[in-house]
Amino acid sequence: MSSHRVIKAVLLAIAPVLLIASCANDDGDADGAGSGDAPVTGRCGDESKLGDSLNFYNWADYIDPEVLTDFEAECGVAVTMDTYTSNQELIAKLQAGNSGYSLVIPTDYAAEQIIQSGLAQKLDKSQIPNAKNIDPNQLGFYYDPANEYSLPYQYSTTGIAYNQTAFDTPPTSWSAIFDKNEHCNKSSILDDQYEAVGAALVYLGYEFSSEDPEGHAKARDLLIEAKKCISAFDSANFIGNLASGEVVIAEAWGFAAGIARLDNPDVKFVVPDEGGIMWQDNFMIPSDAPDAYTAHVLINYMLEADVGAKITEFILGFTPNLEAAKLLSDEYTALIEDGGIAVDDEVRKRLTPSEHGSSELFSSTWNAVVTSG
Amino acid sequence: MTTARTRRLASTWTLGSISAVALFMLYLPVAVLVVFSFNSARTGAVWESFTLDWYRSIPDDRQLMRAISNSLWIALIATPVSTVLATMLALGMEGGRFRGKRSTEQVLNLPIVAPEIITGVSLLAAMSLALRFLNDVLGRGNADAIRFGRPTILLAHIAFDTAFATLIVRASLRNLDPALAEASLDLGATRWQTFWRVILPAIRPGVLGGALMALTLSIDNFVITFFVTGPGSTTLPIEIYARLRRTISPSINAVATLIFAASIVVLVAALFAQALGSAKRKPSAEAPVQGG
Repeated sequence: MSSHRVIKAVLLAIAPVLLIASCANDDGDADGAGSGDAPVTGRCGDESKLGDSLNFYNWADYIDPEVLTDFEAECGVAVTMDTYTSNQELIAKLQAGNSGYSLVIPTDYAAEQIIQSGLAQKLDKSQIPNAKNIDPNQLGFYYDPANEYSLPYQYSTTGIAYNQTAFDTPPTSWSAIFDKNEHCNKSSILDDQYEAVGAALVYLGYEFSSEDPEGHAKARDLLIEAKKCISAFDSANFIGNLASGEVVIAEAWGFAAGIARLDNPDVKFVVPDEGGIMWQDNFMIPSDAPDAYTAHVLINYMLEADVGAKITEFILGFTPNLEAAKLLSDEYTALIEDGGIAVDDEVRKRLTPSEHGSSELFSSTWNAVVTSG
Repeated sequence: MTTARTRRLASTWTLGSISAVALFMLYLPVAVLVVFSFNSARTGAVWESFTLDWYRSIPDDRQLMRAISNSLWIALIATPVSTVLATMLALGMEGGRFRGKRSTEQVLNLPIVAPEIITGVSLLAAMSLALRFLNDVLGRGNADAIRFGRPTILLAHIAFDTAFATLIVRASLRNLDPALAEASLDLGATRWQTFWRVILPAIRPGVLGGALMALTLSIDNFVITFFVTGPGSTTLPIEIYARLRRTISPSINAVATLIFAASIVVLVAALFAQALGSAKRKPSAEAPVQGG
């Protein structure tokens, strides 16, 4: 009873502070949006319904910043982008409610979780005419079979990045990291329960998302052995280490190998014979988005051919946008193809989508690996 | 005699070398960071050539600039507010006995003792509750709701800044001879005059120290801020952390170097201010003795 009253009193006491401060904050955020004089380009939707600003929650370093400034100049919408470094962070923000974001970019399995928890709203496809540009191969995945809630933003693969000067014959199997690693202390495995355990499962002949207890026991033992040789479980510094030559073989994402290759052309990438993983990041609009209309317009804008190409050339992933793919620069194509990063029909057969198994099982296997002496 | 001297010499040497090693370990990483902020190589630990490009790129980086301005905005408001609160609290706690003094003390120490992550989570829970209540009362919907942002970060920072600053101000108050205030009151000064003319000048180093502590903590804080941040209010430490995920960008080294340089400037300024304060006080304190 009395504690209830205390809480109420406290809330009432801080209410004006929050209110005043939030108003002050609103002014500060409009950093120079020239909304009035935006030229009409036909890519900005219905100007009368378009908001002045939009909050966008995206992976760190996962868009060419120019795209957002271009959108602001073209359509008069100031985009405030904040970044996250894991899907868990994104989900936590959305679950807390009232996050304020109108557009988010979850990875496939996170998209599934967000849809299932009712945290996303259905997309209005009539507002996204550019959806016709999307490669049908990248639609209808397990997490959203009819693409009611999501459209693909960018995809890439998980495989092996290596420095070709360190190998007489280029590696083609996960064994080069997990089993017969000849480059102890110059190799790394991604620091992620699904990427590490899942890849070990694939090497052992199981599915990436397998929940077979025997498979997990074998994967655990394999990773514990592998851990004695590798220099680190690392999802952050391996790009720089590959580029500098401190690491010569690493479990890596295709786009990451591309970034390392920009600085060191000896870095190459391969999807191992046993199989690799294909994952996709997706546009989604949270169910409590403040401005769903403007979010639709921004999605449609990013699915324009030229914008899509710009995004992909920055990230060095793959565009699901067939029209954008036609505009990709020769530099990008050369980097991806010569680097072994490109996905052709033959490679595609070896890729499984990153559907995730039970998180309890994967995390217990992973914890056993991480905590092993 | 000689053994005592050797022993003293030996202990001086050990102390000296331990300090040297400690300082070396502390400052070597900073030195590396500063050096690499001038390195033209984008990745890896290899020196290529000297460049100022990373510094030049900072103003063009909108997200980085926004993070810097958020951090400064929060720190520059949180510091004075929490310093004033801390001084008032310290005066109250040292000045007299009142009901609930002990519990005030405990509550005040909570943010210092409790792990930051606990403070962060509980602030998140409490503030979401408050915001939901507020939005209900004001009838605000998704489009115009009041959300987490700089104001919520500011409140959180004031909370822990105040706790730490109070600790420092109290320490300097405890060293203050209560006779000074008594004498001042006895000689006809009002309480207000006593505070401004006698107590505040005497505890100024402590207040300044508290403010400096608050400023540093505020600029520095990651964990608590992480929980109460909202759209557009990303602070510098959070932005830096997010960027590390790709590769350590040299522009981050450049920003870190600038922060390091700025903190040295602030520190030196604070030392000067303190030295100036005590230099001014000394002659006036000694004057009556000489005169008598």
